[in-house]
Amino acid sequence: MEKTAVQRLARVLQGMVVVVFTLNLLCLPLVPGAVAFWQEHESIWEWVSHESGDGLFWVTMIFAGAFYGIFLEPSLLTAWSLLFWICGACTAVILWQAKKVLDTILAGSPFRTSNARALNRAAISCWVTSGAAMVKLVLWLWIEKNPAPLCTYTTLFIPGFLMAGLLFQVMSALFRQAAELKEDQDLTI
Amino acid sequence: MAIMVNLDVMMARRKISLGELAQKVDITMANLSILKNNKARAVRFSTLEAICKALDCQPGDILEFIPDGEEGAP
Repeated sequence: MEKTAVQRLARVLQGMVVVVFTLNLLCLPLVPGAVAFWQEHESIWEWVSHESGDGLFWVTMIFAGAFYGIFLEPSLLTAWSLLFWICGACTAVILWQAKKVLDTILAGSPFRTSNARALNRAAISCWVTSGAAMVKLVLWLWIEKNPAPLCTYTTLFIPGFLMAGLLFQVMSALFRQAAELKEDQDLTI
Repeated sequence: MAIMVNLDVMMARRKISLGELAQKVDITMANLSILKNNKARAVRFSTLEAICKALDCQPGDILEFIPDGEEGAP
Protein backbone atom coordinates (compact mmCIF):
# COMPACT_ATOMS: atom_id res chain seq x y z
CA MET A 1 0.00 0.00 0.00
CA GLU A 2 1.46 3.35 -1.03
CA LYS A 3 2.49 5.45 1.94
CA THR A 4 0.93 8.87 2.44
CA ALA A 5 2.99 12.05 2.76
CA VAL A 6 2.44 11.98 6.53
CA GLN A 7 3.72 8.41 6.74
CA ARG A 8 6.81 9.31 4.69
CA LEU A 9 7.47 12.20 7.08
CA ALA A 10 6.87 9.88 10.03
CA ARG A 11 9.47 7.46 8.61
CA VAL A 12 12.07 10.24 8.46
CA LEU A 13 11.18 11.43 11.97
CA GLN A 14 11.35 7.87 13.29
CA GLY A 15 14.89 7.53 11.95
CA MET A 16 15.92 10.80 13.55
CA VAL A 17 14.31 9.86 16.87
CA VAL A 18 16.08 6.48 16.93
CA VAL A 19 19.45 8.13 16.24
CA VAL A 20 18.97 10.74 18.96
CA PHE A 21 17.67 8.09 21.39
CA THR A 22 20.76 5.94 20.78
CA LEU A 23 23.07 8.93 21.28
CA ASN A 24 21.15 9.79 24.45
CA LEU A 25 21.77 6.31 25.86
CA LEU A 26 25.45 6.41 24.83
CA CYS A 27 25.95 9.76 26.57
CA LEU A 28 24.41 8.70 29.87
CA PRO A 29 27.48 6.79 31.14
CA LEU A 30 29.69 9.78 30.24
CA VAL A 31 27.78 12.19 32.52
CA PRO A 32 29.86 11.89 35.71
CA GLY A 33 33.12 12.23 33.80
CA ALA A 34 31.81 15.20 31.84
CA VAL A 35 30.65 16.92 35.03
CA ALA A 36 34.04 16.36 36.70
CA PHE A 37 35.92 17.45 33.60
CA TRP A 38 33.97 20.65 33.09
CA GLN A 39 34.49 21.53 36.69
CA GLU A 40 38.22 21.74 35.91
CA HIS A 41 38.33 22.74 32.25
CA GLU A 42 36.23 25.17 30.19
CA SER A 43 36.23 23.10 27.00
CA ILE A 44 37.08 19.48 26.27
CA TRP A 45 38.09 20.19 22.68
CA GLU A 46 40.47 23.00 23.61
CA TRP A 47 42.12 20.70 26.12
CA VAL A 48 42.38 17.91 23.55
CA SER A 49 43.84 20.18 20.86
CA HIS A 50 46.37 21.81 23.18
CA GLU A 51 47.50 18.67 24.96
CA SER A 52 49.53 15.84 23.48
CA GLY A 53 48.40 13.65 20.57
CA ASP A 54 47.00 11.16 23.08
CA GLY A 55 44.42 13.71 24.22
CA LEU A 56 41.46 11.59 23.29
CA PHE A 57 42.87 8.60 25.15
CA TRP A 58 43.40 10.69 28.29
CA VAL A 59 39.95 12.21 28.03
CA THR A 60 38.51 8.70 28.01
CA MET A 61 40.62 7.70 31.02
CA ILE A 62 39.59 10.83 32.91
CA PHE A 63 35.94 10.13 32.16
CA ALA A 64 36.25 6.58 33.42
CA GLY A 65 38.20 7.66 36.51
CA ALA A 66 35.85 10.50 37.37
CA PHE A 67 32.91 8.10 37.05
CA TYR A 68 34.13 6.04 39.98
CA GLY A 69 35.71 8.94 41.87
CA ILE A 70 32.46 10.91 42.06
CA PHE A 71 30.53 8.04 43.59
CA LEU A 72 33.25 6.83 45.94
CA GLU A 73 33.48 10.30 47.51
CA PRO A 74 30.02 11.88 47.35
CA SER A 75 30.19 15.59 46.71
CA LEU A 76 28.43 18.33 44.78
CA LEU A 77 29.60 16.61 41.57
CA THR A 78 27.60 13.54 42.63
CA ALA A 79 24.46 15.68 42.97
CA TRP A 80 25.07 17.31 39.56
CA SER A 81 25.66 13.89 38.00
CA LEU A 82 22.48 12.48 39.49
CA LEU A 83 20.43 15.48 38.31
CA PHE A 84 21.87 15.22 34.79
CA TRP A 85 21.19 11.48 34.82
CA ILE A 86 17.57 12.11 35.78
CA CYS A 87 17.26 14.62 32.93
CA GLY A 88 18.98 12.22 30.52
CA ALA A 89 16.69 9.34 31.52
CA CYS A 90 13.63 11.57 31.10
CA THR A 91 14.69 12.68 27.61
CA ALA A 92 15.24 9.01 26.70
CA VAL A 93 11.68 8.26 27.89
CA ILE A 94 10.31 11.19 25.85
CA LEU A 95 12.13 10.01 22.72
CA TRP A 96 10.93 6.42 23.20
CA GLN A 97 7.31 7.56 23.57
CA ALA A 98 7.72 9.67 20.40
CA LYS A 99 8.98 6.56 18.59
CA LYS A 100 5.93 4.57 19.75
CA VAL A 101 3.59 7.27 18.43
CA LEU A 102 5.46 7.39 15.10
CA ASP A 103 5.19 3.57 14.86
CA THR A 104 1.39 3.82 15.06
CA ILE A 105 1.36 6.54 12.39
CA LEU A 106 3.39 4.26 10.12
CA ALA A 107 0.97 1.42 10.86
CA GLY A 108 -1.87 3.67 9.68
CA SER A 109 -3.86 3.82 12.94
CA PRO A 110 -2.58 6.62 15.18
CA PHE A 111 -5.79 7.30 17.08
CA ARG A 112 -5.39 4.85 19.92
CA THR A 113 -5.52 5.14 23.69
CA SER A 114 -1.97 3.74 23.81
CA ASN A 115 -0.79 6.97 22.15
CA ALA A 116 -2.66 9.00 24.76
CA ARG A 117 -0.84 7.05 27.48
CA ALA A 118 2.51 7.52 25.71
CA LEU A 119 2.03 11.28 25.49
CA ASN A 120 0.98 11.35 29.14
CA ARG A 121 4.26 9.61 30.07
CA ALA A 122 6.17 12.13 27.94
CA ALA A 123 4.43 14.99 29.77
CA ILE A 124 5.37 13.56 33.16
CA SER A 125 8.98 13.14 31.99
CA CYS A 126 9.05 16.79 30.90
CA TRP A 127 7.82 17.88 34.31
CA VAL A 128 10.39 15.73 36.10
CA THR A 129 13.10 17.33 33.94
CA SER A 130 11.77 20.78 34.82
CA GLY A 131 11.77 19.81 38.49
CA ALA A 132 15.35 18.54 38.29
CA ALA A 133 16.44 21.79 36.63
CA MET A 134 14.74 23.73 39.42
CA VAL A 135 16.52 21.68 42.08
CA LYS A 136 19.84 22.28 40.31
CA LEU A 137 19.15 26.02 40.10
CA VAL A 138 18.20 26.29 43.77
CA LEU A 139 21.33 24.34 44.83
CA TRP A 140 23.48 26.45 42.57
CA LEU A 141 22.03 29.72 43.93
CA TRP A 142 22.59 28.49 47.47
CA ILE A 143 26.22 27.59 46.72
CA GLU A 144 27.11 30.71 44.72
CA LYS A 145 25.09 33.07 46.96
CA ASN A 146 24.58 35.44 44.05
CA PRO A 147 22.06 35.60 41.19
CA ALA A 148 24.57 34.59 38.48
CA PRO A 149 23.04 31.08 37.98
CA LEU A 150 19.77 32.77 36.98
CA CYS A 151 21.48 33.79 33.73
CA THR A 152 22.27 30.22 32.64
CA TYR A 153 20.49 27.71 30.42
CA THR A 154 19.33 25.85 33.52
CA THR A 155 16.89 28.70 34.21
CA LEU A 156 15.47 28.37 30.69
CA PHE A 157 14.94 24.61 31.08
CA ILE A 158 12.46 25.15 33.93
CA PRO A 159 9.70 26.97 32.02
CA GLY A 160 10.68 25.33 28.73
CA PHE A 161 10.11 21.76 29.92
CA LEU A 162 7.10 22.85 32.00
CA MET A 163 5.40 24.19 28.86
CA ALA A 164 6.46 21.14 26.84
CA GLY A 165 4.81 18.95 29.49
CA LEU A 166 1.61 20.97 29.25
CA LEU A 167 1.60 20.65 25.46
CA PHE A 168 2.13 16.89 25.70
CA GLN A 169 -0.81 16.66 28.13
CA VAL A 170 -3.02 18.60 25.72
CA MET A 171 -2.00 16.24 22.91
CA SER A 172 -2.67 13.26 25.18
CA ALA A 173 -6.22 14.50 25.83
CA LEU A 174 -6.64 15.07 22.09
CA PHE A 175 -5.53 11.53 21.23
CA ARG A 176 -7.76 10.08 23.95
CA GLN A 177 -10.78 11.90 22.50
CA ALA A 178 -9.80 10.90 18.96
CA ALA A 179 -9.53 7.24 20.03
CA GLU A 180 -13.01 7.37 21.57
CA LEU A 181 -14.48 8.99 18.46
CA LYS A 182 -12.76 6.40 16.25
CA GLU A 183 -14.14 3.57 18.38
CA ASP A 184 -17.63 5.07 18.08
CA GLN A 185 -17.15 5.37 14.33
CA ASP A 186 -15.79 1.82 14.01
CA LEU A 187 -18.72 0.42 15.98
CA THR A 188 -21.29 2.36 13.95
CA ILE A 189 -22.87 -0.24 11.64
CA MET B 1 -26.62 -0.96 26.96
CA ALA B 2 -30.26 0.29 27.01
CA ILE B 3 -31.12 -0.51 23.37
CA MET B 4 -31.07 -4.26 22.70
CA VAL B 5 -30.90 -5.69 19.18
CA ASN B 6 -33.01 -8.82 18.83
CA LEU B 7 -31.74 -9.68 15.37
CA ASP B 8 -31.30 -13.39 16.06
CA VAL B 9 -35.01 -13.74 16.96
CA MET B 10 -36.15 -12.23 13.65
CA MET B 11 -33.49 -14.19 11.73
CA ALA B 12 -34.81 -17.44 13.24
CA ARG B 13 -38.39 -16.52 12.31
CA ARG B 14 -37.44 -15.76 8.72
CA LYS B 15 -35.07 -18.77 8.63
CA ILE B 16 -32.18 -16.75 7.30
CA SER B 17 -28.54 -17.23 8.24
CA LEU B 18 -26.05 -14.52 9.24
CA GLY B 19 -24.15 -14.85 5.97
CA GLU B 20 -27.30 -14.58 3.84
CA LEU B 21 -28.52 -11.54 5.76
CA ALA B 22 -25.09 -9.88 5.53
CA GLN B 23 -25.14 -10.36 1.77
CA LYS B 24 -28.68 -8.98 1.42
CA VAL B 25 -27.93 -5.95 3.63
CA ASP B 26 -24.51 -5.41 2.02
CA ILE B 27 -22.48 -5.27 5.22
CA THR B 28 -19.76 -7.64 6.40
CA MET B 29 -20.52 -10.66 8.56
CA ALA B 30 -18.21 -9.20 11.20
CA ASN B 31 -20.25 -5.99 11.42
CA LEU B 32 -23.53 -7.89 11.43
CA SER B 33 -22.18 -10.07 14.22
CA ILE B 34 -21.23 -6.93 16.20
CA LEU B 35 -24.79 -5.69 15.76
CA LYS B 36 -26.35 -9.03 16.70
CA ASN B 37 -24.25 -9.31 19.87
CA ASN B 38 -25.18 -5.82 21.05
CA LYS B 39 -21.60 -4.53 20.71
CA ALA B 40 -22.48 -1.77 18.23
CA ARG B 41 -22.40 1.85 19.39
CA ALA B 42 -24.73 3.20 16.71
CA VAL B 43 -26.71 2.07 13.68
CA ARG B 44 -27.19 4.11 10.54
CA PHE B 45 -30.75 4.53 9.30
CA SER B 46 -29.63 3.19 5.93
CA THR B 47 -28.46 -0.04 7.60
CA LEU B 48 -31.66 -0.32 9.66
CA GLU B 49 -33.74 0.21 6.48
CA ALA B 50 -31.79 -2.51 4.65
CA ILE B 51 -32.20 -4.97 7.55
CA CYS B 52 -35.95 -4.30 7.84
CA LYS B 53 -36.32 -4.73 4.08
CA ALA B 54 -34.37 -8.02 4.14
CA LEU B 55 -36.29 -9.42 7.13
CA ASP B 56 -39.64 -7.88 6.16
CA CYS B 57 -40.17 -6.37 9.60
CA GLN B 58 -40.44 -3.11 11.50
CA PRO B 59 -37.58 -1.46 13.43
CA GLY B 60 -39.46 -2.17 16.64
CA ASP B 61 -39.30 -5.90 15.85
CA ILE B 62 -35.52 -5.89 16.10
CA LEU B 63 -34.84 -2.99 18.51
CA GLU B 64 -35.96 -3.03 22.11
CA PHE B 65 -35.48 -0.42 24.83
CA ILE B 66 -34.61 -1.81 28.27
CA PRO B 67 -34.26 0.81 31.03
CA ASP B 68 -31.01 0.66 33.05
CA GLY B 69 -31.27 -1.78 35.93
CA GLU B 70 -33.70 -4.07 34.16
CA GLU B 71 -31.09 -5.61 31.81
CA GLY B 72 -31.12 -9.36 32.05
CA ALA B 73 -34.59 -9.45 33.65
CA PRO B 74 -37.07 -11.77 31.86
